[in-house]
Amino acid sequence: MSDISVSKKFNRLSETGVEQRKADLNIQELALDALQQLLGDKIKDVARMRGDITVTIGPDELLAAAEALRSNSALEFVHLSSITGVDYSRFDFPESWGDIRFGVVYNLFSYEKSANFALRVVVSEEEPVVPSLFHIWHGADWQEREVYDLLGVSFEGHPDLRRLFLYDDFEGEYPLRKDYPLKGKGERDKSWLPMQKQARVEESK
Amino acid sequence: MGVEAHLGNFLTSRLSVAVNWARKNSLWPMPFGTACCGIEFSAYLSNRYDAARFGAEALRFTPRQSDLMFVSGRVPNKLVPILVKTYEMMPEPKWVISQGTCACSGGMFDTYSVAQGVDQFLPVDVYIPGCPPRPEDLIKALQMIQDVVIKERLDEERDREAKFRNV
Repeated sequence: MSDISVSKKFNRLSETGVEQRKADLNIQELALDALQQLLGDKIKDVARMRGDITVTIGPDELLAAAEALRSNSALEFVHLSSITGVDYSRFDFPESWGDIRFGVVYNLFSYEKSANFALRVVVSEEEPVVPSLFHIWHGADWQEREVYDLLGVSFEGHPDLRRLFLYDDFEGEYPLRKDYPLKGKGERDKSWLPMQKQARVEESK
Repeated sequence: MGVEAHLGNFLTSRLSVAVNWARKNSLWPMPFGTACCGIEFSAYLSNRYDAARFGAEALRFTPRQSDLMFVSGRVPNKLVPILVKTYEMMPEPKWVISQGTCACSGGMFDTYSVAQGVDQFLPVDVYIPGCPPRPEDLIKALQMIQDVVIKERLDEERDREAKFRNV
């Protein structure tokens, strides 16, 4: 996070823009410090991409970390911009992490400090369960439902965990998983059949 | 040929010719636009292409007042029951245009969630290929629908529906 890299990336920005970006990165460092104090060795990984920090933790630490990021008066990450589910089945992670299949990435934003932060939770295929952040950020409601619907990661403590995008009688499993065939398992050819049958029955009456 | 002199003030014809002539020149389209084809459909209705020349400019956003359905864009599985229900709400006689590659065959959306062609569950009269088709293609399709309409028998519509259902 040297000044050179900042100015390279933001060479088209005004001086104010560069200053804002520097402040953003400082807040990210603060947030990382806060998490390191709170969790210590339980942090699995700290990744830096062009100065932006992504902290990887396990599902057990998520609630504490989220609560700290939200309520810390120096950070105030009051906005959960997005939740993304990732299938990491084709990734290699360190042995010490255990058997990792899915990740859930939380992108946070602080209006007060104008800063971003990313938190990543990794879970195994056998137990794809992540604590729900609904009670910390209500915006997590539908986004967690989306991840649950398409990827099959379930969120413990979510008040209303049901499908969001797929229809209720969808027969397949979780179509965003990498091992799910792109063309589906025949559901796209069957979706219109109930309608057709129903119409035929009504006509024969 | 000199026949007119003996006819007087009347003209013999088939009823279907008169009725179909009225129908073909006053088609009321129902736009079922789900994707970018819907934008091309808007262009086709605008004054540059002027669908009013063919009497088909009176869009109705309720299926109960329309007799020509434009399926413009891809149809996901989730939308299939809604599309079929909308079609069934339309009063007879009714015609369907499948606009664009996605509506015709699924197109590039060869995935689990998109129906591979609306002709699986709707009796399509005219297919318009293209991604998306230009407004001129829509005008051509409308003229082809008019050809379909003018050739139709008055007792045929119910049969057509039943025939499609039993396939």
